[in-house]
Amino acid sequence: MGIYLDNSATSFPKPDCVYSAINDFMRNNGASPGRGTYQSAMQSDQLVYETRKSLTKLFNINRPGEIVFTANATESINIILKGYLQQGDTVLTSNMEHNALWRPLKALERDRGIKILQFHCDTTGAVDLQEVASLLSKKPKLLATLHGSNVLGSVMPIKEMAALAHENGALVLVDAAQTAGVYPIDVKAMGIDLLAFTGHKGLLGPTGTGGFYVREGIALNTLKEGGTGSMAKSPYQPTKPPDRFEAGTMNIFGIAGLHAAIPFLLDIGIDTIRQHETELMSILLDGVTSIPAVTLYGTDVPEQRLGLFSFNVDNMSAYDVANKLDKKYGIIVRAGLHCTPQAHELLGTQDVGTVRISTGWFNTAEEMKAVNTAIKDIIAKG
Amino acid sequence: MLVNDITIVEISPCLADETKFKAITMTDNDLTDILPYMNTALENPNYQANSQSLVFKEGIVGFTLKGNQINITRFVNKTELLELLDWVKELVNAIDESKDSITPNYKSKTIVPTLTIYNMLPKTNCKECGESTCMAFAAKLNKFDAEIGDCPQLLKTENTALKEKLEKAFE
Repeated sequence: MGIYLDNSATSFPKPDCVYSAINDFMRNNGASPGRGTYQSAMQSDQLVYETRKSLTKLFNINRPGEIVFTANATESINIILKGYLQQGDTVLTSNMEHNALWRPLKALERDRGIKILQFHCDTTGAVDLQEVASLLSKKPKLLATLHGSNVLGSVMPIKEMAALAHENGALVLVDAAQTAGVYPIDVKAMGIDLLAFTGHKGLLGPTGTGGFYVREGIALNTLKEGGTGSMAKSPYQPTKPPDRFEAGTMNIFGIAGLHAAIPFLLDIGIDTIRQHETELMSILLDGVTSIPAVTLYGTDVPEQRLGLFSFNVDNMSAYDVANKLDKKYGIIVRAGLHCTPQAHELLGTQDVGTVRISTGWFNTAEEMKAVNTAIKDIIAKG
Repeated sequence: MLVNDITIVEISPCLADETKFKAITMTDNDLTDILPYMNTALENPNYQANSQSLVFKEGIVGFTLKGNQINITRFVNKTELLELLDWVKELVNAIDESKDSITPNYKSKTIVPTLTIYNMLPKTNCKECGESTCMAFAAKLNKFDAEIGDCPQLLKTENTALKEKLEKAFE
């Protein structure tokens, strides 16, 4: 593997402890949690519980029971939106949501007649809080928005927006797919009522893991029903989380990986991770902004973005740039619309896409310098 | 720490409420010596010196501590059980760590027979306490599953003497 820079899609590599944990659990335990009462099943239960607990530390959540595990952030968002929004409800969202949030909203608009209001971020991802306040005065039931943009790398002012939402009686759902594990998230301080996260990006766990936080007292209808290993006699799904939303066999091997990954992050510290990514961004942005043929999207101030940015090169398609970086230099980036067509409509790149570089904890400064050199070479050689 | 590990031995449905569960768990160290300190530190526990046991409630969840065993009743799922085990472990360890500043209470809570309690109730069968009859309420009081203040009739001025008699019986 060369220089991997598609951590916004999925992080790579994972910490060694994650590989070991999954291998160990698969070989030496393998039991499904919440099903048997034999020792290995109890250990499996304990592993799941401890993973919930470590997430409470990461996000400052009151109780482990407020955390539900799902396959990914997309499933989490679907459960929340379809569980909370009823016929004719209004929801406020941004003009640059990932399809994970946008598509279920559009399906609800079509199928349940929900009304979608949108606030408008500018081409740097900046938000006009006055516009948000004005739209919230129309009393939507929910403010549902991304935390970090997977195209621009911008970060929403969640705390300020949540305060406005609560003043107007709306709950707040935050899609933390791009920020969990790389940017500080404190659900209490930020006023987040529902948080969707994925396990395989910044949390450094395996694919097939994710979940959501649902603040105690918030009632959601279920998206699916099935076996939960509890109250089996009842024909109905349990009423309380997490069981209510965890029908079917859990991805326990994946959670075993997450069980190791989150303490790894907590030991390093999110602030340290953030600083590292900011330093990597600084090197990259210094490089690309010095190349006239490069168009950078979003701010060139590293401290104001996540560890990702999108760019294009004059007279070269994004796919061409990405292919050359991969084939000639072993540098892995992503080209296209990144499942966020709305952001590209905002940038005017909906027909061409962009090249996106997204760093991770394991990238180094030397790698970033090599990337800058490679981009210059590609442009020089055409 | 007094309690490092709590092992779940058995989980089964609650007999009184099929939507809830009960569990038998074992601690790695004996809790007998800490119970009189918990008898002081907790609000309204039921300590019995002859059986060396302590029963108390946290919300609707009931805890019974005896020897190495902690029984827990009325939780809804395994996650809640594990949260409760974390909680009781922290509680026991916190009390153990501050033992030097707690005067242990070795006095058992008085168990008053159900019929004796019943004879001191207004006997209106009003159901305002949530029970169908005063006898049912008396049975709950006997087990410390209810409190004297849960009977609205006893809080009325005309029943003050009954209330005081009942409180004295439990001293």
